[in-house]
Amino acid sequence: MDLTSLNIDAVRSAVWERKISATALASDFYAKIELDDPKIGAYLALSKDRAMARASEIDARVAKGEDLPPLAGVPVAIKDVLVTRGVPTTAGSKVLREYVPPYDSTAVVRMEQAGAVILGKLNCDEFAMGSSNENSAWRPVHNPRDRSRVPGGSSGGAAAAVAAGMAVAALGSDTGGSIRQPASFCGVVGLMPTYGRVSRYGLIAFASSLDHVGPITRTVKDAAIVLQAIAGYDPMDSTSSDTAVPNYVEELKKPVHGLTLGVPKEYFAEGLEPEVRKAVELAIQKLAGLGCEIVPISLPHTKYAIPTYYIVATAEASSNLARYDGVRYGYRTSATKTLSEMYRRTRGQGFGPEVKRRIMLGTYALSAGYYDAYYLKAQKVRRLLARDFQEAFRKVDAIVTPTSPTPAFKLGEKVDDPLAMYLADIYTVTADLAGIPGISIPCGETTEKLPVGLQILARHFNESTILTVAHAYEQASASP
Amino acid sequence: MANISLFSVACFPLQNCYSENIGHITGMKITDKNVAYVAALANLELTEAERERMLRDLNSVLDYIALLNELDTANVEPMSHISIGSSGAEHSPAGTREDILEGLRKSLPHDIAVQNAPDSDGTFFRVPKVIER
Repeated sequence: MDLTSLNIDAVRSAVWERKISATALASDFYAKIELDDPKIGAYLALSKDRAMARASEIDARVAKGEDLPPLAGVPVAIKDVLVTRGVPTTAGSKVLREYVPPYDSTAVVRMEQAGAVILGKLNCDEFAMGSSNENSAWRPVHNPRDRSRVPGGSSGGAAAAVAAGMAVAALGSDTGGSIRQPASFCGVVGLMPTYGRVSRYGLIAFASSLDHVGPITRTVKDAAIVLQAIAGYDPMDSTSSDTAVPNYVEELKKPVHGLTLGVPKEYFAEGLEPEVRKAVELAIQKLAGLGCEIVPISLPHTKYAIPTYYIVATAEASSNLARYDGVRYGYRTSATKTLSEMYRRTRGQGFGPEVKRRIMLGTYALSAGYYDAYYLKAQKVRRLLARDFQEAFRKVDAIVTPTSPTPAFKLGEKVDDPLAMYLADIYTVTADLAGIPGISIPCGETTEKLPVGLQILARHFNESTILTVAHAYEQASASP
Repeated sequence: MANISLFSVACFPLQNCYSENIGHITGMKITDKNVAYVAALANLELTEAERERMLRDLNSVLDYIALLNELDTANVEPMSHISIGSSGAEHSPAGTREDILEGLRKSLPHDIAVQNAPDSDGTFFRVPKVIER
């Protein structure tokens, strides 16, 4: 069985038809991980006992001829920012070294309820802060398409694992583009659902008004299936929404003919690499060929998104990361005389450079005398950015843009320039700030064979529209 | 709290720079003193090399953030949460729920709650001396 091209339905029917057992499939994936992952670095921990127990349950159901749930036997992996009971969870940080959570995040519970077999935990930028995975405290991840390049971030391990066939699907998190940008860099599908669509209970918090959980998969249909499994209200997350969850897979069949797609000029301005532009423009032409009406639009406040994001996100992070103090869990420095010294040294030693930078920036933006100038100002500009989208969605059903201005860059290329790294998220942060859903799907390659991503955005809770358009494009490009 | 001593040492250097006028603030560079003060607020011990680097990085990011001052936001309502209902209208998330002991899930058993602690006697979390003299 070719593990690199498996999708969810293929696994489920192979298991159902007893072509392979769920346990044998999980073992095959572990063998592949042991063989290939040393070159990629996608996994931080393997959960073999848990995976085999789950897989055996699926095999028992098959033996009894019971109906199989939608993800039955599907080997998946989880970004290390989602807590997993009994399986080490570090969020890519030394401050959570040896932390073994006593509970499961809701998204993980729902994946297992849907039959998924969780292989392990995936590398990421420390506390999901980064755009290249180079901020992982443990090791960088190499892009499977070109190992001299980054996989993107912060869900770099998730995108790389799926691209390299070391998991059929993965759960990632997106705060400023951390699902979509690595999906784009690795040539896979990454879906950020609407804010509140998927419970964040058990997601290690980075920026609470921006954090989302979502799938990274190889096909659009797989993204729909995983979203179906994890979406919906959760009493454990008061920000989760009780808006009804549609049948996303059924919605894929809807025609795209007659849909209006907006192309915002601000996303095709200076800084966009010509080869990325060309691939995205070709994709838009293809969508026009499928009967979509293409309309030029403007999202005038786009250039303010990155500065707004780096105030809001860092302010919230500085507060969320206050809990890492060496008392209840995680790393503690040795031999300090006083409590305050212990706090300061534990945090100074436990956090990496980017996390410290963001804690400092966020603390500064919230500090006395600066709150109005920075945090309040950013919250106001955030509203202007959200309004841009509201205006646009009066005229269009969805918006199409590049996911990232460049393809995957070289490892080490941007590590010394935080601002250059922040700009890698220029086309993705806007959706996080507005709370709207977005997807990145592969749309061709550069001459160096690096994948390019097409981003599709829609109104709040309109994941169906996004998935329908993405699916139609994917089908059309598969049959030229 | 134990950090009172830190606050007094820091002598609130930022207060001196406070101004209603945003332009004044953003035209200004962060100093090493500011970095030390903010690090103290954040309970973050930084080495001298880290402080130097932080000074450079924060100033470069803050210069970029100053772009926001181009926008007149005097009449814009700040967006403090982004939960949106299916109607597209903003609404406060969730609302209230009954406040019941162990209402949503059982509390963690005591031994499980302390098992990840760097230092515990099995009943309590142990920490260094709190009162500094």
